[in-house]
Amino acid sequence: MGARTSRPGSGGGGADGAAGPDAAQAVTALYEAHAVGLIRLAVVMLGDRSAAEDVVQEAFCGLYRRWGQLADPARALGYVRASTLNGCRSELRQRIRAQRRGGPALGAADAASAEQAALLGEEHQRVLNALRRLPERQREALVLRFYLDQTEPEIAAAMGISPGTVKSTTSRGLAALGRLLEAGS
Amino acid sequence: MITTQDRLRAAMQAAAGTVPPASAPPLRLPAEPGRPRAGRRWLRAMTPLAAAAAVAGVVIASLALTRGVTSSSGPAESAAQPVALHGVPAFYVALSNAATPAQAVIRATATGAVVATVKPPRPYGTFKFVTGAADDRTFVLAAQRWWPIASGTRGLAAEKRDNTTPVAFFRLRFDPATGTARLTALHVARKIPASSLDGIAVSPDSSRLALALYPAQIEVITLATGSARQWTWPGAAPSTGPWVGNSKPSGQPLSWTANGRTLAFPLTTESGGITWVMLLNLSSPGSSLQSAARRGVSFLGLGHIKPGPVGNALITPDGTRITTITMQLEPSQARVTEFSARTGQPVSPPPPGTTPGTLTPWSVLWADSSGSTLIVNGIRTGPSAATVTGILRRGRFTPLPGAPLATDNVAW
Repeated sequence: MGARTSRPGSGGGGADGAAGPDAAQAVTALYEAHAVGLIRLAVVMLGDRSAAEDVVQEAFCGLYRRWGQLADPARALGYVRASTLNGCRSELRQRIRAQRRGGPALGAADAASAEQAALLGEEHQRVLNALRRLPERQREALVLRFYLDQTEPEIAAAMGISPGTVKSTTSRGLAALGRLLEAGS
Repeated sequence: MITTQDRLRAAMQAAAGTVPPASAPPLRLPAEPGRPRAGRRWLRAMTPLAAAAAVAGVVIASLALTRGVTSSSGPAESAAQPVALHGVPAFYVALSNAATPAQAVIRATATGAVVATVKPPRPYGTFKFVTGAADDRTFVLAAQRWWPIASGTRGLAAEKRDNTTPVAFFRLRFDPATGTARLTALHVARKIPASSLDGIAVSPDSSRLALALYPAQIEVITLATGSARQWTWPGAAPSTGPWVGNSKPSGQPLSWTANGRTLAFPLTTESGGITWVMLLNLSSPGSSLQSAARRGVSFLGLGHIKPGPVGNALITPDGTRITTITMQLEPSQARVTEFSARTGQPVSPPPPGTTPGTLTPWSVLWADSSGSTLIVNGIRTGPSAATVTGILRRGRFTPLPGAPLATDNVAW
């Protein structure tokens, strides 16, 4: 479609490794099938629906741009899930930086979080707040383990760490979460 | 005994449960491979580059024109049905950076066939925005310097754009009889950094050009004389807003009424969502945007509609309607929604032309005089799901062959 170019034999890959109509169709279909699940994952991580939608959109746009470089289209979902987690990581880091500066980005995030909090009970909100206070790696391991029910090898692959580290990180994360909840009660 | 693990699982499930099934917003694919998303923080982090470009007077710019180039995506698909095309402009311009830097590609609406391609004249490396007048053959383009800084780390060509030097504006006139296009530099006295320009809209008679400037200023330039008027939102600041424009790049942010008296624009609030579509009375005195503009649509308090449009919003040329895409809450569904420009309320019951069930729309690209015929972009749902652009009239959607997937770089 449009003036997009395709390299012959590249499966629609464009000049930057992105693709044309075939890629658009494939990425759109993947989005339709998995967007809600990934937005839910990002909401768990971020506590903010709007930011979660942005992160997921960006992940799928990234997949579209790199479609031509994807060695195995069957791995597209794994790619976009990892991108979503990366996006959540970046968003949380940005919030921390903004919080340190006392800048306006914090206010915007807080407003969105307040909206989210109104939809959840007090107990759930307390647990999620505590989860977001954990170090990045612990928080991610807990979400992958107890929300996505991933196995240790799967978490290791997603986070780029060894299965042994997954085990210790998850265990420490749970303990830290328990302490935070106890301290807050 | 309830363990920490149980509490954590329950809390995460509850958080996930706040996202209902089938409630994902429409997917917005990048404009073209490598086209940047309008990430403001990123734009402002660009390394300043020198060398401002000067345009002296009105000159015929260097012009590279290709005639009779066929669509590079293969043979043109079969033409859209003539009945669907009634009243729709015969030609449009889409910016394409399939071959970086971006070129202006003039296409026939009915077939998608490329009728001419125009490259940005030196020293401007790429086109940034395009807008069309009512005659379907006069367009205005904004061009900016293009600088090969780096190849980019994630396939983004955005790093190659120089956002610090001023943009230049060009009038593009296309003659369908001869298949020739003519690019003329327009004299704009004020130097506008590319990073400040959020959108452009030429008036229907092509005599004036409206600019949306970051954070909250609108400038209207009379093209024959170069004289300009500015309206600024009092107290608007880059970090706190409000901002003129869409919160995400999606379609044209500015639209004119046919009589040239009113300009519609979205106003994005501090919390990051577009809450209002404002109507600027161009004959009102003073320079305060707040005083000269009134609220056309407020999305707050509508109950069944998420507060803020999904994509852009256009005022119909007759000035009676504001048409946009909204996210309905129950059931959760993106729909073309028309509001009365007088009352700001949704037109009820929804008139013919509202969304067919097989289309999830996300941007309105063009509207006829009363808004009964639209060109929209969205996702065709079902087994052959794909991003599509087409004509929406009386509940019937007719895809346009060869039309671009993206919406922030095309003008009818």
